[in-house]
Amino acid sequence: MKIDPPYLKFIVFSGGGGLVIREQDIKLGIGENVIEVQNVPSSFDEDTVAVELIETEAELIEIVVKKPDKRFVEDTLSRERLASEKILSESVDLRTEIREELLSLCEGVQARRYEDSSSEFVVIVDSKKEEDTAKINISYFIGDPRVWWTPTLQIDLDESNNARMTGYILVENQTNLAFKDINLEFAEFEGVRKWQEPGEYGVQTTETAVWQSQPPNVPPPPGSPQVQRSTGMPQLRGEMLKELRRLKKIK
Amino acid sequence: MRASLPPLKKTRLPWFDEEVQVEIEREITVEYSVTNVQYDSFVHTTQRRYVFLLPQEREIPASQIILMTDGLPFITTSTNGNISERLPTSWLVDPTIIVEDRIMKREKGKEEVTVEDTPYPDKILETRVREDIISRKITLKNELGKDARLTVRIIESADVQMMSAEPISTKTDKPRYEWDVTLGKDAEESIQCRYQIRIEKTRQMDKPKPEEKKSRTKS
Repeated sequence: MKIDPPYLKFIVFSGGGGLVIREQDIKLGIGENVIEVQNVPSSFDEDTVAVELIETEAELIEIVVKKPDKRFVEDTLSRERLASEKILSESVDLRTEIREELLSLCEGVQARRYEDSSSEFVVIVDSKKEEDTAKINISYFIGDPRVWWTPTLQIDLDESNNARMTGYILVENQTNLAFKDINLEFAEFEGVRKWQEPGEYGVQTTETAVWQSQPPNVPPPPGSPQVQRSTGMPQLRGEMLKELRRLKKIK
Repeated sequence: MRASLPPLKKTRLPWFDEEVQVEIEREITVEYSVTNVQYDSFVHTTQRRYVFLLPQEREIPASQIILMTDGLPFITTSTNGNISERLPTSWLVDPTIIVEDRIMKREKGKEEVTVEDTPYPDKILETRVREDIISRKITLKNELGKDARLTVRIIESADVQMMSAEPISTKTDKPRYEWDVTLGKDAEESIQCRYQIRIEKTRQMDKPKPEEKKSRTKS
């Protein structure tokens, strides 16, 4: 059974990412039910996945998660990027009706990252009844720093020490995912960002991300500040020193 | 709140809109050392911040603030968030209160010289200690165009001790002295203080040789 539960709540974190809560009514048959949850981005944190079955006696057996291979996704994405560049470079006249549409499409392709691709998310449930209904509640963290929020206060002062304070929340969604008419909440939270392999979590967005995402034997990009460079260095330095000591012993 | 977040876009959402009361806090903090208390003139900057009193408890995190008057922005500042119903902005430099700090008088004290031996046989340690009394005057001038209230804070150090002040400080909590000053439009106020300062100079020098001593006694 394939389901695409609507977003019940999306709690956006100020430091990037957020907590997604999705819920849907499902019908279960007797025995093992395999439920495939769709539209789960690869930026979701598999350590934080929680599934709850409400208003049923059915039991959760297991949750199977598989993220797509980064190399293949990156390969496909780079080909798509090249194709979009080719479309633009070979378009002689873009002053046509489809100009805006075409540019937005190419922009979308250029901005697409591994984190925007879909992951496999399967929930296996065991039901004792012939025909059972349940509410499935799924929650997981999105560890994507391309979604975050910042508050802004606009204050209009008058002469008599009174003011009108208007608060705004600016939500940035630099992902390729669309969140349509969802219940938004905001939290001040800086998620723990692990060292990521190539392709994960907004690789080309910042120099730091590029450096952090590269394997240790690749030098940092030129012009990266020294502080940022040091993020991946201690481990590499330790390994190099260890290797040097080993070589000296051999001599 | 319900909203849509389209891809590759920024969405600005209204959060709240309410009337708040404003307090403007101004302060000047002066910290003297043995060196700067002896300067002829000394420039201090007045610091100003806005404190907004929220009508209801609301959690406001660290935010950017745009202050406006008559619908036009005039300052962009920030806040680290509210503490209960108070929401203070970060401190800003206030150019409307001009502060002048000048020396008025210096009374030199008697110098005491002590000599100590050092671990090196041909060297001695000479210490010269003098206690001076310095009188300084801080003049505050209001160029705001309306009444202004501010706090002047003087913090003494181990070698610069406050002896007396005119007018007497409104709040004393050693080593901190505070004056609450209200300045009328274009008005000037001053605070005069006397400080006792301890100037101590230590130097290592060559021990005078016996021949030098003898020649000195002969002459």
